[in-house]
Amino acid sequence: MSRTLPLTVLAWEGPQARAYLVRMRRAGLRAERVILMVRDPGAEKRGRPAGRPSGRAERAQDRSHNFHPYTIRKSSPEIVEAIGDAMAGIVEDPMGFYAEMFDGFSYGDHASRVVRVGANSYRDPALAAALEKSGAETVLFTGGGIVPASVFAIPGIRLIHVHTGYLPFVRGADVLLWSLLVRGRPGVSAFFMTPGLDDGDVLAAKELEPLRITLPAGSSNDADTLYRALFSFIDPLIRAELLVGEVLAPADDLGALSATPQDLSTGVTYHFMHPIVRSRALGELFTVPPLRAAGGSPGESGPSPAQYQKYYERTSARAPIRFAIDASRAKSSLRTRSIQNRQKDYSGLAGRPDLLALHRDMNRQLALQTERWDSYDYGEGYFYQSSDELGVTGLRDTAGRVETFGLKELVKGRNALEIGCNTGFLTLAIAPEAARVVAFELNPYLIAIAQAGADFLDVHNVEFAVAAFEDFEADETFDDVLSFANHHTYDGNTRQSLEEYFARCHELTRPGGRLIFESHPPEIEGAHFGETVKIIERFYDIERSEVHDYGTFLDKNRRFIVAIRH
Amino acid sequence: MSSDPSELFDALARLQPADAEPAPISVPALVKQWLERGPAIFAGDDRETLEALCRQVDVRKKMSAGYAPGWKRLEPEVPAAPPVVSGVVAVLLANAAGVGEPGPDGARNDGWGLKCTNSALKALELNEHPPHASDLRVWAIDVLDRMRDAEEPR
Repeated sequence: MSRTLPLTVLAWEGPQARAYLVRMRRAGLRAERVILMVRDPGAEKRGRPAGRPSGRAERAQDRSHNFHPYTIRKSSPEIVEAIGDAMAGIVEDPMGFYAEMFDGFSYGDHASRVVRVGANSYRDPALAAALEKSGAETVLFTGGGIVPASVFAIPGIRLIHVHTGYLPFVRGADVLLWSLLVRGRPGVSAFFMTPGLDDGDVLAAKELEPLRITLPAGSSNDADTLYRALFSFIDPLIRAELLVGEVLAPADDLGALSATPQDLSTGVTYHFMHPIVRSRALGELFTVPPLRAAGGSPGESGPSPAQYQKYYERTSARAPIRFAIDASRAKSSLRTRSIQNRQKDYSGLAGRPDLLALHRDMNRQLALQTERWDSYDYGEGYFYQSSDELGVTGLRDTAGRVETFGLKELVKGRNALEIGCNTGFLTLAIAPEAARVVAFELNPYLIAIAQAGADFLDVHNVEFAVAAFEDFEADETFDDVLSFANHHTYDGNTRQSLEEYFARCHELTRPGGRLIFESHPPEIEGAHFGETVKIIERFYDIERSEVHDYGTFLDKNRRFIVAIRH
Repeated sequence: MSSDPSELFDALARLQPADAEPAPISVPALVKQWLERGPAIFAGDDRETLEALCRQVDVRKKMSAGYAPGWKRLEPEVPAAPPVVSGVVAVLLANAAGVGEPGPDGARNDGWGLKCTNSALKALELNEHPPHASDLRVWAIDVLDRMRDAEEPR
């Protein structure tokens, strides 16, 4: 038997509104009324107000506003399970909760009455009119935009908002992530809204125990997916639990809720996080094991290069169509990008039989790699590095890297050693300026590609070798040792400590020679890159230390260091 | 790269435009004054002003050379020159000097400093080539690397 509260839920379709209603129902509570805003994208595009809401518009809105939770539940169930495990300390049966939110959810099951209003935003006059007509006094805000003054002006209305920051200390946007970075734990506050930003009187507020989610090996760890998972499966439940547990369920009379003014002289108003800061914050919440432990083959997230081999025997009009379809179906954004870039490369092969033959040979090696290489594929079934000379778009911008760091000038006339050269496209780009380059890589298929590239470009001053750094031997030292994001590796193949790594670099650098170093992106380096720099400084004097914004998203904000051997 | 914020402040102060268009709120004038004063963590009116600039960067994704009272747009709206943007970034990062120590009110980290660093990273993307961009990015990432993590006591 449920108790009906004199509460109107102003529902902006999405996980937040649904979580509140599910949690209320679990506590034996129903809202008196749900006012469901239904967008009309056609009218919105034409700059017109939303019309009468149709069932079709409502269903389309459901698919659109709940796209991320639906997609993540389907494509990455292991992420949802891992989150559910961690959330069991906050709500009862989280996996059941998600099922109630997303499997056959109906607003009518959670309220005595559902009023559908065609409104493309909170500014739509139809919304204020519907609220005023309803006579609603206590209204629950469920996100989706800024509430305009016209709504606050409705006589007798009070809006309740729940925000995942511990007031007054954490206000603004991305507050759950800011709470993790700044306060080390999630927080949540329910308060009466005002036209200001998170400054209303507080109904309930608390900080939770630190939350840590360990994702299983092999699960997606791209920041966008994890950010969307946060707002689909974590944030809404934290809000719902406080709202129902500490405000609605204990209240005898919603009209007499007691709230405490905030001390507005304290706390910080935060804004949406920059991607680098966001990655750090997500790193506070999610632990992702190295991909090597998964043992999963690179082909699992997309077609194997072997399936494309026929397109490199002779150019085909069908190939771009195949690439476009596969790109749209790829399971990760990186795999999508790799297939799209493959398509771009393919358009440059027409009328170039020499280049087509090269790509045929290189693709054959990629196919063999997919079949036989049991470790992480940085290129996602494609090429990690770009090469303008070889017609490869790649995932990283080789030309940008060479120009931004001034690599050609640095190695001019010198003998260089490149550690972990991947497909060697960077090596080949700088080799014409260098006296000689020795480049090694653990993956034999990538070395085969490197050699094919060297043959095509008629480059003769590079020696490519298959080797792990731990096993690499040389009876010479080099003017420059190039360490480009190999000091520790994402694939877990590194068997030496950072100290051992740089000690070996030092041994291979002639006295007065240089270490030319590139870090991983800051979100991979994490919080302890300072320690890496200190280790470098034990062996080298740092002459240049720079961070550049160039190239693709994989290139940006890496640290570049040039250091002289002690 | 200069690891001393004062040196970077001096270098940026020398790059500031000599004649800024007058405006009720002149960003070049503010930046020039702040750079000449040297690196500091702001309080009071300066902090409020810097906070208002953060809102422009974070919410409007722009930094103008001047604003009307109440930080309203001027017409026409003139973007802040790259050296001015770099100056704002340096001032923001100087305000992050407290990151690495516990923050106020039981916080593990200094929220104001991290907020400023967040705005600094965004401000660096407003122009194509703000001067000393690399030094400023290194500084920003060094701030993030100083953050206290879960193992350190609150």
